[in-house]
Amino acid sequence: MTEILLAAAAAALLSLDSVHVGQVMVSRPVCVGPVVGWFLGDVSTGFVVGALVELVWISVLPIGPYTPPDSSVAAAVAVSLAIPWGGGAAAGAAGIAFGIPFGLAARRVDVRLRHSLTERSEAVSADLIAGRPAPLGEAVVFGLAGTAAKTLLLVLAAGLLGRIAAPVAEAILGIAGIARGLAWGAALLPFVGLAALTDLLEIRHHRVPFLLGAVAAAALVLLG
Amino acid sequence: MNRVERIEIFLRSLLLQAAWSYGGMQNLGFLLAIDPALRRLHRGHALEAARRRHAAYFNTHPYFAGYALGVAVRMEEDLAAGRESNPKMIGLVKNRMAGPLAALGDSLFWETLRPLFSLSAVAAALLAPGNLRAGLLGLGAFLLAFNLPALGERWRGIRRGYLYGLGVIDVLKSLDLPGAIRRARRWGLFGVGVLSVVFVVAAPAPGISGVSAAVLAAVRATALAAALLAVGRKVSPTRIVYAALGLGLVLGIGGGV
Repeated sequence: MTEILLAAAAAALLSLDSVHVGQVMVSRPVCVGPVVGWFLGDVSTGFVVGALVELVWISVLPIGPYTPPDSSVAAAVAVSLAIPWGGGAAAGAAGIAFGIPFGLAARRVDVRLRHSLTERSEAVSADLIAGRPAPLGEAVVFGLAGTAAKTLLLVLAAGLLGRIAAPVAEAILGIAGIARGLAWGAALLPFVGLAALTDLLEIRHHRVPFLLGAVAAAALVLLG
Repeated sequence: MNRVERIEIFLRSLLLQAAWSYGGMQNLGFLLAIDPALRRLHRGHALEAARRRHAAYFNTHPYFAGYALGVAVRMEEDLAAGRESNPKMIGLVKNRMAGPLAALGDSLFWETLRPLFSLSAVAAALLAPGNLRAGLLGLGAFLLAFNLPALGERWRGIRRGYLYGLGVIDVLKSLDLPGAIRRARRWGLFGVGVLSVVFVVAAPAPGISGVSAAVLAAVRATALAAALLAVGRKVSPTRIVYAALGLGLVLGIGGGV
C-alpha cells in the first residue's frame, strides 16, 4: 500500500511538468515509467512500458487550446498494473491496454480544470479592474493542486484495483496463448509510434532520408 | 532590467502555464512572470493599470514566451520613462508576436526536437530491456539534448526581446529557424529509417519463443507497413495501438505463433 501511495505521489509531482511547471519533459512516459517502476520494485518493466506508452501518442501535440490525452497518467497506470500482474512483455501490454483509457479519462478532468481556471482568470481580471487585490497566487495553486490531485487519485485507484485484480490477471496471463498474444502485441507497438513519427516529420517531403536510413541499417545488418 | 530581475522573470516564466485556462490561456502566467518588472517601474494606479494590461488574453509557445516577455519589459520601461505614450501598444505588440512565436515553437520543439530526442530513451529501453544503465543513459541523453535548447531559448528570449525590442522579430528571422527545422527533420527521418529496420530485424522479442527470426521480421515489417498506411489515412493512434494489440492476440491465440 505504501509503495503504491509513493508511486502515485511521484507520478503526481512529475505530471505537473507536462503543462504547469517547467515543461522539462520529466512528465513524459519515458521518465514517469521508470520512476513509478522504481517505487514498485521493478525499474526494468517501468522503462519498457514507459517507452511503449511514449510511442502511443508521440505525434499528439499540445497545440493551442487542444487538450491532449494525459500520457503521464497512462504510463503511471500502465506500470502500476503491469508490475503486480507479473511484469514482462505480456503484463506490460495488458497494463498499456488498461492505462490508455485512464489517460483519456485524465484528459476529461483536464478540460474541466481548465474551464474552472477560466472562471478564476476572469475573477482575477475583475479584481484588477476594480482595484482590489487579485488572487493570482490562488489561481496558480489551484491549477497545480488540481492537476496533482487528478494524477494522484487516478494512479492510486488503478494501483489498488491492479493489486485486487492481480490473482485474476495472473491467471489470465498464465494462459499460454494469451500471454504469447500480448507479447506479440508489445512487439508490434513500436511500429505504431515509428509510423506516427514519419508522418509528424513530414515524410511526404523527405522520403529520401528515411529510405537512406533504412537501406544503411539493412546493409549494416546484412554485413553482420 | 538587471541580471537579478532577469533571473526572477526567467524562474517565474517556468510557471507560465501554471494557471492555463481556455479563457485567458497564459494570461495569469504572463502577469506572474512580468510582475517584478512592473513593480520596479510603476507605482499606485499606474501599477494597477499595468497589471490589468498583462492579465489580458495571451498565448504562445512556452519556450518562446521569453521573447514576448523581454519586449513587454522594454515597452513598459519606455512607457514609464515617457518614451512611449500609448499603453495599448504593449498588449497589441505582445499579441502580434504571439502567433509567429507559437508557430516557430510548435514546429521546432513539439513537432521535431521532442519526438526525435525522446527516441534515444525509447530505443535504449526497448533494444536493451533489463539493462538499467542503457535505460538511464538513453533517458539522460533525451532530457539533456532537449532541455539545452529549450531552457536556453527561454533564457535567451528574455534578453533578446529586451535588447532588440520589436526588432527581435528580425533577429529571429536572421536565425533561419525554419531551415534548421527542415534539416533536423531530414536527419530525424534518416534516424527513424535506421530504427525501423533495427526494430524489424534486431529488437528483442521477450515472451515470444519458437518463432524463426525470418517469421518475426516478416510480421514486424508487415506491422510497420500497415501502421504507415493507417497513419497516412489519419486513423487515430489509440485505435492503431488497440489494433496492434488485437493482431498480437490473434497471432498468439489463433495463429499459434
